[in-house]
Amino acid sequence: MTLKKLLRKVVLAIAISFLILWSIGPIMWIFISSISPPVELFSRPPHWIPYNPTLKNYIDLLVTGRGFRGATVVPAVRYFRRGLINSLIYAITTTLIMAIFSSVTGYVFARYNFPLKDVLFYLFISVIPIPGWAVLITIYRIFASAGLLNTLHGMIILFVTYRLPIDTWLMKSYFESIPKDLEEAALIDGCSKLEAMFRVVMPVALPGIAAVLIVSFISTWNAFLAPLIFTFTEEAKPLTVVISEFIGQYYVEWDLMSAAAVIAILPPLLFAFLFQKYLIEGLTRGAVKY
Amino acid sequence: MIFDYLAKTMIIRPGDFRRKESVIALLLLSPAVFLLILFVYYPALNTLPLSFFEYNLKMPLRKKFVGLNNYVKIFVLDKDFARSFTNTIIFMAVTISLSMLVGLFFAIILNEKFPGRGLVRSIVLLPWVIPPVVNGYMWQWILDGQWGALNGLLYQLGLIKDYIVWLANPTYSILWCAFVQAWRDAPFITVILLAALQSIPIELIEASKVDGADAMRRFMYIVLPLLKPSLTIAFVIELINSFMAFDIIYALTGVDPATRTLMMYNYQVAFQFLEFGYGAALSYVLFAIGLIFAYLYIKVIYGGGR
Repeated sequence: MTLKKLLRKVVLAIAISFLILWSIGPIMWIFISSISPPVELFSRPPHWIPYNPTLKNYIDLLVTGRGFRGATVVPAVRYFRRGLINSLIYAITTTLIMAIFSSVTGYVFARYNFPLKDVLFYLFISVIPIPGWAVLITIYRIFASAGLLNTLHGMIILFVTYRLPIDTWLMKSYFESIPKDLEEAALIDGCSKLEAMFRVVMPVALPGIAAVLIVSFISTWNAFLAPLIFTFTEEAKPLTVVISEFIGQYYVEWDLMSAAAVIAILPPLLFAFLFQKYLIEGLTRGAVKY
Repeated sequence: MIFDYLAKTMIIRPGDFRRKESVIALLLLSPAVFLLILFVYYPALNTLPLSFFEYNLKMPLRKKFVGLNNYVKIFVLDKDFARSFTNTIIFMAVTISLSMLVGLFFAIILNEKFPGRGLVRSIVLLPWVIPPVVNGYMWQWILDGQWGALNGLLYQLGLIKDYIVWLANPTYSILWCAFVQAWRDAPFITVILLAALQSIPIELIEASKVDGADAMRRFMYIVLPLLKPSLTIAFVIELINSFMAFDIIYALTGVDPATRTLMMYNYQVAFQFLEFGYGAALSYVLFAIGLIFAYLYIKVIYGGGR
């Protein structure tokens, strides 16, 4: 029996090591690439641990600026920094809007009785699994005629619209898990439903709101397809689109590219470690608990 | 503040309770409904008439009504569509089976008790949280034919004699795309299945141990049937994810006939060739496929996986 237990422990340890290597190995490599000098990186085989680690790639990317794709030195830096700032603007603004917006819509679906409630809810969630092209082609034309192409606010409108269904669903199911007695006491004291929501229910629902904040931030930060189509210049391009332009037609500067990738990976990665619980909550509640 | 104003108009009096509540509820929902109609439903419907035209954005004046020709072209004449369709099936089959297998495996491991489990649960999420497009570039670098880490590793282990240009081979490149997509999607499956595993009552497992069932049988006859609803949900979500995959393929190979799925093809037609008429027809075909998935999705979610 003890031998069997030992064997079991060994198998589990091997499985866990595999899992860790599988999940983190590729990310570790891009990180190592980003601090390797070119001589060590471009060798066969590469140095798995650099002898002379350097921050040169990051400095090039953010301060001095080695040009990429023929761009002159300074614009290349400006381009990357601007992309970083745009991404932060998109992610933070969308996240804050969603926190309030989805709390209200989620609360209405969870607690109010009104005609067409089910129809309206279907109107929300039917959006989730539909592929975007049918919509994007016409949005392009709407955006073109409304002057929203290549603008920060145009993109934010899109991000908010496409977060709405999932975040509403998430908040709805979260509010539904909170006992009604809580608000009923407040209602008896003469509070309106909305007052009851903001004063009594919201504080209890903070974990749900945190989940919405985190999932919205990550999904907006990661967005690529819509900005690829709707943004053309540094004014509005997020980091993901800027990075996609590091890929030249014939040659890629992988040392610079890996530093850029690490910067793009960092915020979601930190979130995964700091807010794992809320992230999982946000990931599963809408999709699995109903 | 608008909320204060709304709140003051909302004090509940006996009698008008229901009507007032309805009005307020609809009022509160109206901005969201407005956005969804303007930027989802109206565009979705408006693309339909466009699909009956020949309309290239580069030559907007030559817009010409062609009836159902675009659709005929898709299903009969267009060899690129047929190829993209096959690619999509291959891509989806590999992505779904691999991500479900890996996802299930990791869920079973994470359901065990071991020191540092919380940290490992965060680590498992990483492939899912990083930007998919960056993810694709990361793997392109790993698979690089000249300096890539995979080649370096295999070379050092003596498994290959020469570096291989993995993504240049049209048979393998789509499999690599599916692999990376599965690498990204597996954590999602893990999270769903882990939640289900943790809800299995411990007594059930203990009782079967007493009855003398070994680990394999316990898994086959007790755990797996209890996991079935969650497996169904994970499957349907993965069906949608892999069908709509774009970022990773775009980053790994760009628009390449060997890896061009329907999503990629639609992008190429509409936003590279700027054939908005044909692109609209194509998008409606994808839309129809998406509707089947949407139906499955809503059915499965509301039925709790049954």
